Amino acid sequence: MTSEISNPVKRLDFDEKINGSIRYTADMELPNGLFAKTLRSEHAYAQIINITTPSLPDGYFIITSKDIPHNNTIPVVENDWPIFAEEEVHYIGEPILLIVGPDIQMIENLMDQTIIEYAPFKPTLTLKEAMQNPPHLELSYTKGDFDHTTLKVLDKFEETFETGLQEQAYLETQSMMAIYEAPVIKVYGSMQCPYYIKDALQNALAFSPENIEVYQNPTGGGFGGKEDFPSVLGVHTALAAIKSGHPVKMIYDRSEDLSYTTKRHPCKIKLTTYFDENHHLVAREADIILDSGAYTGLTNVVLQRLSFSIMGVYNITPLHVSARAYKTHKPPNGAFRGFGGPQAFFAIESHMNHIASRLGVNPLDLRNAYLVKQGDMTSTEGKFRHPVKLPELVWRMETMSDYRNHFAESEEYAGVGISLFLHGCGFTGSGEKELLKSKVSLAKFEDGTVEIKASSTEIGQGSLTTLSKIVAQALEIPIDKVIHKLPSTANCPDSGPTVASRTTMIVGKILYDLCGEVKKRWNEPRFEVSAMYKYPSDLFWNNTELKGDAYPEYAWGANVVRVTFNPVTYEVDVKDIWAVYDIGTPIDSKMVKGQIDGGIVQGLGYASMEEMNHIAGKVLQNRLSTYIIPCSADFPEIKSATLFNPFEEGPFGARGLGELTLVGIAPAYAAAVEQATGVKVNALPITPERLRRLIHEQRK
Amino acid sequence: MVKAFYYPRSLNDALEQLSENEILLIAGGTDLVVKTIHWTGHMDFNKTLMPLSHLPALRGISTDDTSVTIFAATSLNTILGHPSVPDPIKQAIRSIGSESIRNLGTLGGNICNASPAGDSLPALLGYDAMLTLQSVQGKRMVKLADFIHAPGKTRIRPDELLLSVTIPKLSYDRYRFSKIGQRKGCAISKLSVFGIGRIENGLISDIRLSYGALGPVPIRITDAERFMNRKSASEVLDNWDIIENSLETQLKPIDDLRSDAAYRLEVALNLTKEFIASFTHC
Amino acid sequence: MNSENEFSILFNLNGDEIHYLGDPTRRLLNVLREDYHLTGVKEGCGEGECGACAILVDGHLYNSCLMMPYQINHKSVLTIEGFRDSKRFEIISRAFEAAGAVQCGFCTPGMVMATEALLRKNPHPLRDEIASFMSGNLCRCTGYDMIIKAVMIASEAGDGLW
Repeated sequence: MTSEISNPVKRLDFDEKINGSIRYTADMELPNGLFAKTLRSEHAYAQIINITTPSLPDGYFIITSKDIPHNNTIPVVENDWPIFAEEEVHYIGEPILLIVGPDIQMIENLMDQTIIEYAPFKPTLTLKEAMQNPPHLELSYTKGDFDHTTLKVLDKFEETFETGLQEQAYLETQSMMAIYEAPVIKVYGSMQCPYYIKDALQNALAFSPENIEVYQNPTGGGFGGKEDFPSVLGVHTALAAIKSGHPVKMIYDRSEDLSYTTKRHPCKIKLTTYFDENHHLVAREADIILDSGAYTGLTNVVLQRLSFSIMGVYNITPLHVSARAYKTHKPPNGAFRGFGGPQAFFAIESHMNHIASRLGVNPLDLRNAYLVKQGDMTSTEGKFRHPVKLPELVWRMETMSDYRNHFAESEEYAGVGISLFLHGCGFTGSGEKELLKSKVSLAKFEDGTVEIKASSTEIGQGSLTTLSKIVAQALEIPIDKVIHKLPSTANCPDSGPTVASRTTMIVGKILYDLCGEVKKRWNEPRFEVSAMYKYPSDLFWNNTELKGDAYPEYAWGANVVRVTFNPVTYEVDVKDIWAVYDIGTPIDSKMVKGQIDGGIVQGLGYASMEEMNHIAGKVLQNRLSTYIIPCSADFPEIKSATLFNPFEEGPFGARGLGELTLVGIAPAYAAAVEQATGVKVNALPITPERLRRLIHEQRK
Repeated sequence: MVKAFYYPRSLNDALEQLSENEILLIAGGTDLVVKTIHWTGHMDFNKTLMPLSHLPALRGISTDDTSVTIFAATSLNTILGHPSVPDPIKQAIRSIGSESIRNLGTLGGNICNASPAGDSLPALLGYDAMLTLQSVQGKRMVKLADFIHAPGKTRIRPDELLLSVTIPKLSYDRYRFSKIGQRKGCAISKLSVFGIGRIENGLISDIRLSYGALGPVPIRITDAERFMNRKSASEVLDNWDIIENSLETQLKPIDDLRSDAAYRLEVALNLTKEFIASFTHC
Repeated sequence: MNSENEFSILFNLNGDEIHYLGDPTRRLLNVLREDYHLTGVKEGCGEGECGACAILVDGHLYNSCLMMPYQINHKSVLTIEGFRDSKRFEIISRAFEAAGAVQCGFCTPGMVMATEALLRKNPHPLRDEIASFMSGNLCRCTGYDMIIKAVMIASEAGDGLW
């Protein structure tokens, strides 16, 4: 069942993208522009003893921390991330200075002539080493009353899961440019969050806010990788533009981007499930460890989302969760589609499968016995306030995929796996209420057109189109009467960052509501109205106790994957992929399919092939020929569906979607591989090499 | 940064240059460019760069009753489109890179690049391919098996270029090229196994087994081949420890970022065994 | 020796006869983008892995990031800019729209050029043939199925054009 709004429309940016005329940052001409290149640390942990710079030809500049008028930090959550290393370097690749000038070959020569002397310290490179010291972040919470003395426990089952780095691998590398027209600094580039960059500029430059303007350029993919990191390039190019007096452009080459930008956090999760004498699952504990890299960045928020997601879609209470993050001397990790969710669901869903196998029950039957329902407590003792259609989701998945038959009648070297999952839509905790305070505007013009002003960015997901569609339908005007351009802080209020699957559900909702006001005043020739997000009044959040509604709403999903295994080569072949989601009302069925297919394939890359390792603090896979992402020949067509379950607080009933599609696929894949191989797989990625080792170990 | 470039007008012109100057030869350039490119998008060559792909004398495929000769600068896709090139060779070439790489890359480049993972090499070794090298002094022929002696190192002399590759026509009843990559398309080999052979009176005959990315250079395992010839597949499989020993001593796989040595060796053995098993149904 | 600065090549670029005089060992990708402002040709990886820089040379698919100008001497180069006014482009464009094959757009010109190259070679490719042919064009947004479907739609809608 679908609503009218779900009927697909042509993307607003389709024509300029298909014909190649759209200009990304690297494509833009910058008259009198200079190029900036980052000179980076060669040591994982060292003191900088001395920097010898060459004499600079006319028109060339060096930018260091001394050129920062105010704070030498990138403000994310904690201010521990320097714009340039000053006295110490904390990872290989940490920026020390920029060389700026008109000719990149001359810049390269000047880089070669710049000598940094270091006094190296012994770096902390692995989680194991890092755990010798206290964590830099820690949290714990308990759902229900976890009292070992009163729990009637007969048995317990404990296991540990591990996941590695994942690189966003957006096709357009990080790119930014800055123009200084005193007293105004203007920054343009590839980004998800213009206002984050504005904050970073303000923090570094201490300019007054009206003298800082950040403009989104067409952006070739983000996936979280352009949430926090573009602030680095934003400040770097701004400093260079201010010092040189010229426009400055900075384009990361692929190797630089792969090696030194933020990635998905590597993670270790220990889960313990307690059983009573009837083999009921009566309590659960989770112990979570993250590798932050050198600086905090977004790690504390990732740690929260991961910890809150670890209950899965199951009401197993009490639940005790403790989580810690440790710093290592590697590039800071950050946001990546799912934001802790993929790690959590790989662990919890695999754990459920292993429990089912211990108890000798069907994995789906075990799940069905513990599904959360409307009114149940969330992990943080908030409430699932809206209809939770998990039984319907499971039923749809069963009919679509014939999961039970595949599972029961699996042939040798074939396997099928299922996963059930949720994703909290919007910022974690009271972020939407306290931090973001999202605001949007609608301007109505004489000719009957309406312009959307919101800082939400178009990063490929289609937000220019979906938000326009929401406004057009709400106002009952044709979509070509809606104007929606790439945002800037100069022209758009802060509708919050384009992250956390929040754009359609939250920004779309503010716009939808605001359309009511526009409609009332429709006969006025020209006016502009604004509104802020109305945080649902029945939500509460206590950030000290970590109690309450961690998210305004949840989206739900089920995946089934069927594979075959080649015992000769240890390779796995994916035969079928099924996916069902409850995202409320799909705002555009074609764009929804784009999110589903893209998220699943990115998640299958995470599950099966994407591997990134450091040796002595240096990344090994620093090219697209060594960091392997899926290609067109790897996976079959994905069969997907959505449930009809409109969300009363979302625009036209929509919930969040973008991340949900990635979070649940790895455990379904892992389960299928386990059935096909007969071994237990507790770590990602499941490469043929890993499978071979596991098969040899577990057969002993 | 000294950069020089010489665009030869003819094969003879190229040979003369080679005899007089230090020259870096480039054919398709798919490997050389990646190796020499800087982040600036510029390439540095320490010698004079001399392209070869445009020379008609280095392009094309000729065939006679006993062999096919592929001139060195023939693109991989051109080879795939030629009816006389044996299917087993084509299968190996088809696995190289992607469509665009195969349009640019040449067979001569794949050979002279001498990568342990060069995907045409195991098949060419299996076919006992002969290389014709040419200099102003004349031509000489060398077996491919003797040509590559270390990763990236061949026995070509500085004044020589690779003119052509001659592939004898081979009759066969079974062949298999198995390339294991990190994904299903556009991948560099973790390992590859090439096997080809005949069946005579139910016995394995003239079998050839060669391996890529399983040591410093692609390699044929001739003692295992000799052991297998004139035996039935089941007899070979019954004595598999002999084959295993032979392969384990001669294959020298490494751990790197594409795979690990233990995986490479075991899968090479498995694929070999699977290939031998295909001789049982005859 | 002919020196790098004097090297002269003639080629056809998107229908125009071009005389290039300059360094023969620059990357063709840079030449196309910098000298001829053809920014539909993208740099994604710089090593022939992603196909964002794909162009056609004499009708065949190439990665311009692996090429140098001397390699197009007397040849005909087609980039998205020279292709986008054609009937075939219109068919491919409509097919990409119908299938929803465009998201961030960065891989898109390369995908379009690869589609054109494939349909020239094989006007009615099967799903597997498309998946294999396009494997040198990476996309991180779509998961590929919508692109594969787009090629199938174009193949059908453009029956007789290729």
